[in-house]
Amino acid sequence: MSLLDKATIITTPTAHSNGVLHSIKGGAVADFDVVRGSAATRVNAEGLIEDVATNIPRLDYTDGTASILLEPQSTNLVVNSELNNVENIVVSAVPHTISFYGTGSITLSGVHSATLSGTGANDRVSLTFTPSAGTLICTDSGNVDNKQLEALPYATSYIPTSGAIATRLADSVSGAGDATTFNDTEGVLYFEGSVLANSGTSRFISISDGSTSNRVALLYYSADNRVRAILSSGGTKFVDSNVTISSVTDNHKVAIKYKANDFAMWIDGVKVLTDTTLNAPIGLNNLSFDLGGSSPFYGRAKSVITFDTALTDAELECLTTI
Amino acid sequence: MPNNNIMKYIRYEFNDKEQADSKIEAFYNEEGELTTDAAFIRLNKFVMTEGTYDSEGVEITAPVLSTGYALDVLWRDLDASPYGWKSYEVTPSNPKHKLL
Repeated sequence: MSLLDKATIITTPTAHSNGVLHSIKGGAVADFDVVRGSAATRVNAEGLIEDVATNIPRLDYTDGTASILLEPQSTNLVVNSELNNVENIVVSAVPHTISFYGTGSITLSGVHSATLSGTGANDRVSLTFTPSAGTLICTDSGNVDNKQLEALPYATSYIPTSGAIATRLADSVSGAGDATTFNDTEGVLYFEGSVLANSGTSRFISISDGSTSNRVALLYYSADNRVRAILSSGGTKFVDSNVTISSVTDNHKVAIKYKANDFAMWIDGVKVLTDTTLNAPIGLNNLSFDLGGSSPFYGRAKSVITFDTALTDAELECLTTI
Repeated sequence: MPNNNIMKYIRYEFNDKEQADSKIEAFYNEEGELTTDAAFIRLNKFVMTEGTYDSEGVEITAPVLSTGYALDVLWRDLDASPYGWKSYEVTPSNPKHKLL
Protein backbone atom coordinates (compact mmCIF):
# COMPACT_ATOMS: atom_id res chain seq x y z
CA MET A 1 0.00 0.00 0.00
CA SER A 2 1.40 3.41 -0.94
CA LEU A 3 1.75 6.36 1.44
CA LEU A 4 -1.08 8.02 -0.46
CA ASP A 5 -3.32 5.05 0.22
CA LYS A 6 -2.34 4.94 3.89
CA ALA A 7 -3.09 8.63 4.55
CA THR A 8 -6.37 9.44 6.28
CA ILE A 9 -6.24 13.22 5.79
CA ILE A 10 -4.26 15.07 3.15
CA THR A 11 -4.52 18.85 3.11
CA THR A 12 -2.67 20.98 0.60
CA PRO A 13 -3.13 24.58 -0.60
CA THR A 14 -5.60 23.53 -3.24
CA ALA A 15 -9.33 23.93 -2.67
CA HIS A 16 -11.40 26.20 -0.47
CA SER A 17 -14.81 27.75 -0.08
CA ASN A 18 -16.32 30.28 2.30
CA GLY A 19 -15.12 29.33 5.77
CA VAL A 20 -13.71 25.98 4.66
CA LEU A 21 -10.28 24.68 3.69
CA HIS A 22 -10.98 21.48 1.81
CA SER A 23 -8.73 18.48 2.28
CA ILE A 24 -7.94 16.46 -0.81
CA LYS A 25 -8.32 13.14 1.02
CA GLY A 26 -10.55 12.17 3.90
CA GLY A 27 -13.95 13.40 2.74
CA ALA A 28 -15.94 16.31 4.11
CA VAL A 29 -15.10 15.43 7.71
CA ALA A 30 -11.42 16.10 6.89
CA ASP A 31 -12.10 19.72 5.89
CA PHE A 32 -10.94 22.54 8.17
CA ASP A 33 -13.10 25.37 9.49
CA VAL A 34 -11.58 28.74 8.63
CA VAL A 35 -12.36 31.91 10.57
CA ARG A 36 -10.96 35.35 9.90
CA GLY A 37 -13.21 38.23 10.90
CA SER A 38 -11.89 40.61 8.28
CA ALA A 39 -10.75 40.66 4.69
CA ALA A 40 -7.04 40.22 3.90
CA THR A 41 -4.70 40.11 0.95
CA ARG A 42 -2.53 37.46 -0.63
CA VAL A 43 0.05 37.19 -3.40
CA ASN A 44 -1.64 35.21 -6.17
CA ALA A 45 -0.10 32.77 -8.67
CA GLU A 46 0.77 35.67 -10.99
CA GLY A 47 2.68 37.38 -8.20
CA LEU A 48 0.09 40.11 -7.79
CA ILE A 49 -1.44 41.26 -4.51
CA GLU A 50 -5.17 40.63 -4.41
CA ASP A 51 -7.97 40.98 -1.87
CA VAL A 52 -9.38 37.94 -0.08
CA ALA A 53 -12.79 38.19 1.58
CA THR A 54 -13.64 37.47 5.22
CA ASN A 55 -13.37 33.79 6.25
CA ILE A 56 -11.80 32.76 2.92
CA PRO A 57 -8.57 30.76 3.33
CA ARG A 58 -5.54 32.31 1.70
CA LEU A 59 -3.50 30.33 -0.81
CA ASP A 60 -0.43 32.52 -1.00
CA TYR A 61 2.38 32.43 -3.58
CA THR A 62 4.87 34.84 -1.98
CA ASP A 63 7.67 32.26 -2.31
CA GLY A 64 6.58 31.23 -5.80
CA THR A 65 4.60 28.14 -4.79
CA ALA A 66 1.31 27.85 -2.97
CA SER A 67 1.06 27.85 0.82
CA ILE A 68 -1.86 28.09 3.21
CA LEU A 69 -1.11 31.43 4.87
CA LEU A 70 -2.05 31.89 8.52
CA GLU A 71 -1.22 35.22 10.17
CA PRO A 72 -1.86 37.00 13.44
CA GLN A 73 -3.95 40.12 13.77
CA SER A 74 -2.07 43.19 12.59
CA THR A 75 -2.82 46.86 11.99
CA ASN A 76 -1.27 48.97 9.24
CA LEU A 77 -0.60 52.20 11.12
CA VAL A 78 -0.07 54.13 7.89
CA VAL A 79 -3.19 56.15 7.03
CA ASN A 80 -2.62 56.25 3.26
CA SER A 81 -0.57 53.28 2.11
CA GLU A 82 -0.60 54.29 -1.56
CA LEU A 83 0.19 58.00 -1.21
CA ASN A 84 3.68 59.44 -1.24
CA ASN A 85 3.58 61.82 1.68
CA VAL A 86 4.71 62.69 5.18
CA GLU A 87 2.75 61.00 7.95
CA ASN A 88 2.78 61.35 11.71
CA ILE A 89 2.15 58.00 13.36
CA VAL A 90 1.62 57.39 17.08
CA VAL A 91 3.73 54.40 18.19
CA SER A 92 4.49 52.53 21.40
CA ALA A 93 7.94 51.41 22.55
CA VAL A 94 7.62 47.91 21.08
CA PRO A 95 9.17 46.36 17.95
CA HIS A 96 7.68 47.72 14.75
CA THR A 97 8.27 46.72 11.13
CA ILE A 98 7.97 49.08 8.19
CA SER A 99 7.81 47.70 4.67
CA PHE A 100 7.12 48.79 1.11
CA TYR A 101 7.56 47.90 -2.55
CA GLY A 102 9.45 50.21 -4.91
CA THR A 103 12.69 51.97 -5.65
CA GLY A 104 12.21 54.98 -3.38
CA SER A 105 12.91 55.35 0.30
CA ILE A 106 11.23 56.10 3.62
CA THR A 107 13.02 58.23 6.18
CA LEU A 108 11.98 57.83 9.79
CA SER A 109 12.40 60.67 12.27
CA GLY A 110 10.86 61.82 15.54
CA VAL A 111 10.93 58.95 18.05
CA HIS A 112 13.21 56.85 15.81
CA SER A 113 15.72 57.68 13.09
CA ALA A 114 16.45 55.40 10.14
CA THR A 115 16.13 55.16 6.36
CA LEU A 116 14.74 52.21 4.43
CA SER A 117 15.64 52.13 0.75
CA GLY A 118 13.77 50.16 -1.90
CA THR A 119 15.43 47.70 -4.26
CA GLY A 120 12.87 47.30 -7.07
CA ALA A 121 9.29 47.86 -8.13
CA ASN A 122 8.34 44.24 -7.33
CA ASP A 123 10.58 43.79 -4.31
CA ARG A 124 9.35 44.24 -0.78
CA VAL A 125 11.87 45.63 1.68
CA SER A 126 11.37 45.84 5.43
CA LEU A 127 13.02 47.22 8.53
CA THR A 128 12.32 46.16 12.11
CA PHE A 129 13.09 48.63 14.87
CA THR A 130 11.96 49.64 18.35
CA PRO A 131 11.06 53.32 18.67
CA SER A 132 10.55 55.35 21.79
CA ALA A 133 6.88 55.93 22.56
CA GLY A 134 5.52 59.01 20.82
CA THR A 135 5.11 60.33 17.31
CA LEU A 136 7.06 58.77 14.45
CA ILE A 137 7.43 60.83 11.30
CA CYS A 138 7.55 58.86 8.03
CA THR A 139 8.73 60.79 5.00
CA ASP A 140 8.50 59.13 1.57
CA SER A 141 10.81 59.86 -1.31
CA GLY A 142 10.54 58.46 -4.83
CA ASN A 143 8.55 55.38 -5.69
CA VAL A 144 7.05 53.93 -2.49
CA ASP A 145 4.11 51.52 -2.90
CA ASN A 146 2.09 49.41 -0.46
CA LYS A 147 3.57 51.12 2.57
CA GLN A 148 2.97 49.34 5.86
CA LEU A 149 3.96 49.97 9.47
CA GLU A 150 2.86 47.38 12.01
CA ALA A 151 3.62 46.74 15.68
CA LEU A 152 5.17 43.33 15.03
CA PRO A 153 8.81 42.20 14.77
CA TYR A 154 8.21 41.06 11.17
CA ALA A 155 6.20 42.14 8.15
CA THR A 156 2.88 40.44 7.40
CA SER A 157 0.78 40.46 4.25
CA TYR A 158 -0.17 43.83 2.83
CA ILE A 159 -3.01 45.72 4.53
CA PRO A 160 -4.18 48.49 2.18
CA THR A 161 -5.30 51.77 3.74
CA SER A 162 -6.92 54.94 2.44
CA GLY A 163 -7.84 57.68 4.85
CA ALA A 164 -7.80 55.48 7.96
CA ILE A 165 -5.53 52.86 9.48
CA ALA A 166 -6.81 49.30 9.02
CA THR A 167 -6.64 45.95 10.76
CA ARG A 168 -6.55 42.44 9.37
CA LEU A 169 -7.84 39.99 11.98
CA ALA A 170 -6.11 36.69 12.78
CA ASP A 171 -6.59 33.50 10.79
CA SER A 172 -7.95 30.43 12.56
CA VAL A 173 -7.89 27.02 10.83
CA SER A 174 -9.17 24.11 12.90
CA GLY A 175 -11.52 21.20 13.34
CA ALA A 176 -10.55 18.58 10.73
CA GLY A 177 -11.39 14.96 11.34
CA ASP A 178 -13.41 13.13 13.98
CA ALA A 179 -13.05 10.08 16.19
CA THR A 180 -13.18 7.76 13.19
CA THR A 181 -10.35 9.58 11.38
CA PHE A 182 -7.61 8.97 13.93
CA ASN A 183 -6.33 5.79 15.45
CA ASP A 184 -5.77 5.97 19.20
CA THR A 185 -3.38 3.04 19.00
CA GLU A 186 -0.93 4.41 16.46
CA GLY A 187 -0.47 6.98 13.73
CA VAL A 188 1.59 9.75 12.15
CA LEU A 189 1.19 13.53 12.01
CA TYR A 190 3.07 15.10 9.11
CA PHE A 191 3.56 18.79 8.32
CA GLU A 192 5.48 20.66 5.66
CA GLY A 193 5.90 24.40 6.00
CA SER A 194 7.41 27.22 8.01
CA VAL A 195 6.48 29.86 10.56
CA LEU A 196 6.54 33.61 9.99
CA ALA A 197 9.25 34.36 12.54
CA ASN A 198 10.95 33.38 15.76
CA SER A 199 8.18 35.07 17.67
CA GLY A 200 8.85 33.97 21.24
CA THR A 201 5.55 32.11 21.39
CA SER A 202 4.58 28.50 20.69
CA ARG A 203 2.82 27.65 17.42
CA PHE A 204 0.91 24.36 17.53
CA ILE A 205 -0.26 21.90 14.91
CA SER A 206 -1.98 19.11 16.77
CA ILE A 207 -4.21 16.08 16.80
CA SER A 208 -6.05 16.10 20.10
CA ASP A 209 -9.26 15.36 21.94
CA GLY A 210 -9.79 19.13 22.20
CA SER A 211 -7.77 19.39 25.38
CA THR A 212 -4.15 19.07 26.46
CA SER A 213 -4.85 15.69 28.12
CA ASN A 214 -4.60 13.67 24.92
CA ARG A 215 -2.58 15.12 22.09
CA VAL A 216 0.03 14.56 19.47
CA ALA A 217 1.47 18.00 18.97
CA LEU A 218 4.10 19.47 16.74
CA LEU A 219 5.01 22.98 17.70
CA TYR A 220 7.39 25.65 16.71
CA TYR A 221 8.74 26.35 20.15
CA SER A 222 9.11 29.75 21.79
CA ALA A 223 12.91 29.37 21.81
CA ASP A 224 14.58 30.41 18.56
CA ASN A 225 14.64 27.85 15.75
CA ARG A 226 13.34 24.95 17.82
CA VAL A 227 10.80 22.35 16.80
CA ARG A 228 9.18 20.52 19.70
CA ALA A 229 7.08 17.39 19.97
CA ILE A 230 4.61 16.71 22.77
CA LEU A 231 2.61 13.55 23.33
CA SER A 232 0.11 13.30 26.17
CA SER A 233 -2.15 10.43 27.11
CA GLY A 234 -4.78 10.46 29.82
CA GLY A 235 -3.43 13.73 31.18
CA THR A 236 0.16 12.50 31.47
CA LYS A 237 2.79 14.09 29.27
CA PHE A 238 4.93 11.18 28.06
CA VAL A 239 7.01 13.03 25.47
CA ASP A 240 8.17 16.64 25.51
CA SER A 241 11.38 17.12 23.55
CA ASN A 242 12.71 19.65 21.10
CA VAL A 243 15.44 19.92 18.50
CA THR A 244 17.18 22.85 16.86
CA ILE A 245 16.79 23.35 13.12
CA SER A 246 18.50 25.74 10.73
CA SER A 247 15.66 28.25 10.66
CA VAL A 248 11.97 27.95 11.47
CA THR A 249 11.23 30.42 8.70
CA ASP A 250 12.60 27.99 6.09
CA ASN A 251 10.48 25.21 4.67
CA HIS A 252 10.86 21.91 6.56
CA LYS A 253 9.16 18.51 6.49
CA VAL A 254 8.35 17.14 9.94
CA ALA A 255 6.67 13.88 10.95
CA ILE A 256 5.72 12.53 14.37
CA LYS A 257 5.09 8.79 14.70
CA TYR A 258 3.18 7.62 17.78
CA LYS A 259 2.42 4.18 19.13
CA ALA A 260 2.63 2.64 22.61
CA ASN A 261 6.33 2.59 23.52
CA ASP A 262 7.32 3.74 20.04
CA PHE A 263 7.65 7.46 19.37
CA ALA A 264 9.82 9.18 16.78
CA MET A 265 10.16 12.59 15.17
CA TRP A 266 11.66 12.97 11.73
CA ILE A 267 12.76 16.25 10.17
CA ASP A 268 13.94 16.56 6.58
CA GLY A 269 14.69 12.87 6.19
CA VAL A 270 16.48 12.40 9.53
CA LYS A 271 15.18 10.70 12.67
CA VAL A 272 15.87 13.35 15.33
CA LEU A 273 13.96 12.12 18.39
CA THR A 274 12.86 8.76 19.76
CA ASP A 275 11.13 7.56 22.93
CA THR A 276 10.24 4.02 23.94
CA THR A 277 8.33 4.62 27.16
CA LEU A 278 4.90 6.00 26.47
CA ASN A 279 1.20 5.29 26.24
CA ALA A 280 -0.68 6.14 23.07
CA PRO A 281 -3.13 9.07 23.34
CA ILE A 282 -6.85 8.44 23.82
CA GLY A 283 -9.89 9.87 22.09
CA LEU A 284 -8.19 11.82 19.31
CA ASN A 285 -10.83 13.56 17.23
CA ASN A 286 -9.50 16.90 16.02
CA LEU A 287 -6.69 18.10 13.74
CA SER A 288 -6.08 21.83 14.09
CA PHE A 289 -3.56 24.58 13.49
CA ASP A 290 -3.63 25.26 17.23
CA LEU A 291 -4.07 23.32 20.46
CA GLY A 292 -7.64 23.30 21.69
CA GLY A 293 -8.13 26.85 20.42
CA SER A 294 -4.95 28.25 22.01
CA SER A 295 -1.42 28.88 20.72
CA PRO A 296 -2.42 29.19 17.05
CA PHE A 297 0.01 28.37 14.28
CA TYR A 298 1.03 31.37 12.19
CA GLY A 299 3.04 30.53 9.13
CA ARG A 300 2.94 28.90 5.73
CA ALA A 301 1.65 25.36 5.37
CA LYS A 302 2.47 23.37 2.24
CA SER A 303 0.75 20.23 3.46
CA VAL A 304 -0.65 18.47 6.51
CA ILE A 305 -1.17 14.72 6.43
CA THR A 306 -2.34 12.20 9.01
CA PHE A 307 -1.98 8.43 8.95
CA ASP A 308 -3.75 5.93 11.17
CA THR A 309 -0.81 3.53 11.14
CA ALA A 310 2.72 3.95 12.46
CA LEU A 311 4.80 4.18 9.29
CA THR A 312 8.13 2.40 8.95
CA ASP A 313 11.42 4.24 9.16
CA ALA A 314 11.85 3.85 5.40
CA GLU A 315 8.43 5.40 4.79
CA LEU A 316 9.09 8.28 7.21
CA GLU A 317 12.45 8.96 5.61
CA CYS A 318 10.82 9.02 2.19
CA LEU A 319 7.97 11.24 3.41
CA THR A 320 10.18 13.84 5.07
CA THR A 321 13.13 14.03 2.72
CA ILE A 322 13.37 17.52 1.22
CA MET B 1 -18.13 26.44 11.28
CA PRO B 2 -17.67 30.22 11.75
CA ASN B 3 -20.12 31.88 14.08
CA ASN B 4 -22.05 34.20 11.81
CA ASN B 5 -24.99 34.58 14.13
CA ILE B 6 -23.88 37.42 16.39
CA MET B 7 -21.13 39.94 15.81
CA LYS B 8 -20.69 43.46 17.12
CA TYR B 9 -17.91 45.90 16.33
CA ILE B 10 -17.58 48.73 18.86
CA ARG B 11 -15.11 51.57 19.53
CA TYR B 12 -14.21 52.36 23.14
CA GLU B 13 -12.23 55.22 24.57
CA PHE B 14 -10.50 54.61 27.90
CA ASN B 15 -8.56 57.04 30.06
CA ASP B 16 -5.24 55.33 29.37
CA LYS B 17 -3.59 52.08 28.27
CA GLU B 18 -3.59 50.65 31.79
CA GLN B 19 -7.33 51.00 32.08
CA ALA B 20 -7.87 49.34 28.68
CA ASP B 21 -5.47 46.52 29.56
CA SER B 22 -7.26 45.83 32.84
CA LYS B 23 -10.59 45.60 31.03
CA ILE B 24 -9.15 43.18 28.48
CA GLU B 25 -7.27 41.07 31.04
CA ALA B 26 -10.57 40.29 32.76
CA PHE B 27 -11.38 38.10 29.76
CA TYR B 28 -8.31 35.89 30.20
CA ASN B 29 -8.17 32.91 32.57
CA GLU B 30 -5.19 31.81 34.68
CA GLU B 31 -3.77 29.83 31.76
CA GLY B 32 -3.71 32.96 29.64
CA GLU B 33 -6.55 31.75 27.43
CA LEU B 34 -9.18 34.15 26.14
CA THR B 35 -12.55 33.24 27.64
CA THR B 36 -14.73 35.13 25.16
CA ASP B 37 -14.77 35.08 21.37
CA ALA B 38 -13.51 38.57 20.63
CA ALA B 39 -10.75 40.43 18.82
CA PHE B 40 -9.22 43.37 20.69
CA ILE B 41 -7.55 46.04 18.56
CA ARG B 42 -5.44 48.41 20.64
CA LEU B 43 -5.37 51.71 18.78
CA ASN B 44 -3.97 54.15 21.35
CA LYS B 45 -4.15 57.71 20.00
CA PHE B 46 -4.86 59.01 16.50
CA VAL B 47 -3.23 61.91 14.74
CA MET B 48 -6.10 64.38 14.32
CA THR B 49 -3.98 67.08 12.63
CA GLU B 50 -0.63 66.36 10.99
CA GLY B 51 2.41 68.28 12.19
CA THR B 52 4.18 70.61 9.80
CA TYR B 53 7.92 70.62 9.09
CA ASP B 54 10.38 72.80 7.21
CA SER B 55 12.65 71.57 4.43
CA GLU B 56 15.18 70.40 7.02
CA GLY B 57 12.54 68.36 8.81
CA VAL B 58 12.39 70.68 11.77
CA GLU B 59 8.94 70.81 13.33
CA ILE B 60 7.01 74.02 12.75
CA THR B 61 3.77 72.92 14.35
CA ALA B 62 3.31 69.78 16.42
CA PRO B 63 0.75 67.11 15.42
CA VAL B 64 -2.53 67.22 17.32
CA LEU B 65 -3.42 63.87 18.87
CA SER B 66 -6.74 62.47 20.04
CA THR B 67 -7.45 62.22 23.74
CA GLY B 68 -7.79 58.97 25.70
CA TYR B 69 -6.85 55.45 24.63
CA ALA B 70 -8.86 54.06 21.73
CA LEU B 71 -9.74 50.37 21.56
CA ASP B 72 -11.85 48.64 18.92
CA VAL B 73 -13.42 45.30 19.75
CA LEU B 74 -15.10 42.75 17.52
CA TRP B 75 -17.40 40.79 19.85
CA ARG B 76 -18.23 37.56 18.05
CA ASP B 77 -20.68 36.16 20.58
CA LEU B 78 -22.25 39.30 22.02
CA ASP B 79 -24.77 41.71 20.55
CA ALA B 80 -23.92 44.52 22.98
CA SER B 81 -21.04 45.64 25.20
CA PRO B 82 -20.40 43.39 28.20
CA TYR B 83 -20.99 44.62 31.73
CA GLY B 84 -18.67 47.51 32.63
CA TRP B 85 -17.84 48.47 29.04
CA LYS B 86 -20.93 50.36 27.90
CA SER B 87 -19.95 53.68 29.45
CA TYR B 88 -16.70 53.71 27.43
CA GLU B 89 -18.41 53.32 24.04
CA VAL B 90 -17.85 56.15 21.58
CA THR B 91 -19.14 56.74 18.06
CA PRO B 92 -16.66 59.05 16.31
CA SER B 93 -17.79 60.78 13.13
CA ASN B 94 -14.40 60.01 11.62
CA PRO B 95 -13.32 56.65 13.15
CA LYS B 96 -9.72 56.86 11.83
CA HIS B 97 -9.60 53.05 11.86
CA LYS B 98 -11.46 50.26 10.11
CA LEU B 99 -11.41 46.52 9.71
CA LEU B 100 -9.96 45.49 6.37
